[in-house]
Amino acid sequence: MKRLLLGVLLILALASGAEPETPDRVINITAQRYHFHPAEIRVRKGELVELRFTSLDTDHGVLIPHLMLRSTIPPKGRGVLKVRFRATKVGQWWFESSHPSGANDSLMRGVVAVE
Amino acid sequence: MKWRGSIGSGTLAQPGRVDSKRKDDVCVGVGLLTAADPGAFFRTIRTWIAGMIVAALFSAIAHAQVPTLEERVASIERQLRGLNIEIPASNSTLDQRIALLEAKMAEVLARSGRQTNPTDAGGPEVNLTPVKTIDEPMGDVTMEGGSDEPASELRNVVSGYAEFRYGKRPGVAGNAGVERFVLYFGHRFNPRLRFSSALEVEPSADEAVDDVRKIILGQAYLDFLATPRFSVRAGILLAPIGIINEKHEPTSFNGVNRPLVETFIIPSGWRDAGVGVTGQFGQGWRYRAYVMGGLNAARFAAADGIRGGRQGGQLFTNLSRPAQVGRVEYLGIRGLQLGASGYTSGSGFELKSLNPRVNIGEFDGQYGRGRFHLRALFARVWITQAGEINKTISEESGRNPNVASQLGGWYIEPSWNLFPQEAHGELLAFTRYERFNTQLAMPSGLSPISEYQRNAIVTGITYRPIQDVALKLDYIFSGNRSITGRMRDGLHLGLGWYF
Repeated sequence: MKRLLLGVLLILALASGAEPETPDRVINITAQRYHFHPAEIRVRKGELVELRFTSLDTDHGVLIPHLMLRSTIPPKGRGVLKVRFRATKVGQWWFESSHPSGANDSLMRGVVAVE
Repeated sequence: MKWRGSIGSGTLAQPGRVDSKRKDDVCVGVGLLTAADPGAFFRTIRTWIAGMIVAALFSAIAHAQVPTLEERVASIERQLRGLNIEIPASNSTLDQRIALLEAKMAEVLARSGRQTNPTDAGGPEVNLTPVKTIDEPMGDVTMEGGSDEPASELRNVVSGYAEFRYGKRPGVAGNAGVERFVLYFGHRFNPRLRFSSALEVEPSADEAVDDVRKIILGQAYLDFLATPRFSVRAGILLAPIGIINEKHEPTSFNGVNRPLVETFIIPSGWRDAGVGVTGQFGQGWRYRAYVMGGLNAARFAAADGIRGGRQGGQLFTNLSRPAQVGRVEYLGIRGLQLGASGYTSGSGFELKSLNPRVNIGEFDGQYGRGRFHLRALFARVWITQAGEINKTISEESGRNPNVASQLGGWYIEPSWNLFPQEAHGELLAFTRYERFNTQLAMPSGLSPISEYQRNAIVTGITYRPIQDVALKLDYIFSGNRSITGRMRDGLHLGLGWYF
């Protein structure tokens, strides 16, 4: 009985540790004063997309209004911001810097084109 | 590791995690499988099979109890109604209901000025903006690795930078002081309308004719995003020419002082009242095109060219001779930034019966790969009616400005990060060669003065313990063709930080 219980616990532990769904596409985006690269991302409707933001200089805010998402990309060498989304609407949407990284930060914008 | 998602997204999966406390239990199981007794081995196999069946049953039961997305949305709607938040009857599609919930949540957040975590509402952790005009979510989202920004910081943002420097020339006492202290303030009215500004305290500013003008409005404009690729801006704008004028935080360039070419040929710190458009097109192309206050030729000079002619937009800018200025950038290859700028302006509004035109062409490039970086710039200025400008100013003020008909210059700056790439800090060794002439060509009847044909080698290091702090040390070996008026060499130490 003890062995049965151990087996059940082990299997349940493995089952509960399942990996998250694998994204259909992973897109690496670098951020630096004052641009994102690439600044235009094309995805297909329904695709599970993972954006990986890496800074090449200071920390940068990211705002994606139509995902109602905002966060901060860590400074260079301090980590990666991963955003995973499934686009459900066709259209062109923007993302932008949400806190100033300098004099011309308002130029720091990109486009997500959902096709 | 942190995962967030929008309400009811249903896409969140908690990353797997091995609990170290379970390690012993796992080892027990492995030990049974390797036992020498075959009977025990088969008993173990039976036990495992039975365990799997039981686990599968538990799993099936557990999954059967997970509410559907629609049920979770209905649950959240009920909870919000319980908080006296008006939620219409749920006769629309699931997407529309989720969008409505998100908009309602944004309204609540905007009113309360804080964030909330609705994990207790049955959905994954969420991170919402306080902007309430979003009524059309693009999709479902999860996030990892970033950090939250409080709602208040998204609407009103403050940052800035400061530069402190020490300079020493041979035979002259050293001096030290704050070169600039700049505060950026921004406000986001809604996702499409944004205000940006910079208030600068520049004790050594060349515009500082009195104490009041040492405080300068560096920029102040409204930016209206018409489409994801096109926006309109108006206010006091930075002229989009060269590298430094729009990107001059002390941590973003090498050397204590800004490049000489971007001081004497392109007068950095160049801003004026204007209106313009910005946007992006194709793969990696970006543009800016402004109409803004023009240069005042009555203030041109031999030593620093057109620098004195900037109006600055501090007082009321004379727009009788507006300038048209534009810049195109290519950012389509990772690590490469190429730019070209053009400027044309009438500049005779303070000169009787004259309307000289100033035209500027400029190209620049920056490239970074691994620990190597390179930046270079070339600029040329043409001034029409330069002879008449000199004559008129001389007649009106008795001063002979010796304005040239052409100015030009270029620089190139390679740099190398001496620290390993994986290190958090950077130690950049750089050398910049600059060559510029504020009297490249003179109007007929005047000869160029060799003192103004200048060059400089600026070499030094920039140490960045973190990306937003830079300690700089450089030495300038300067030269010109003048026998008597040679530029002086100098040692400079600077400290700059961005916050």
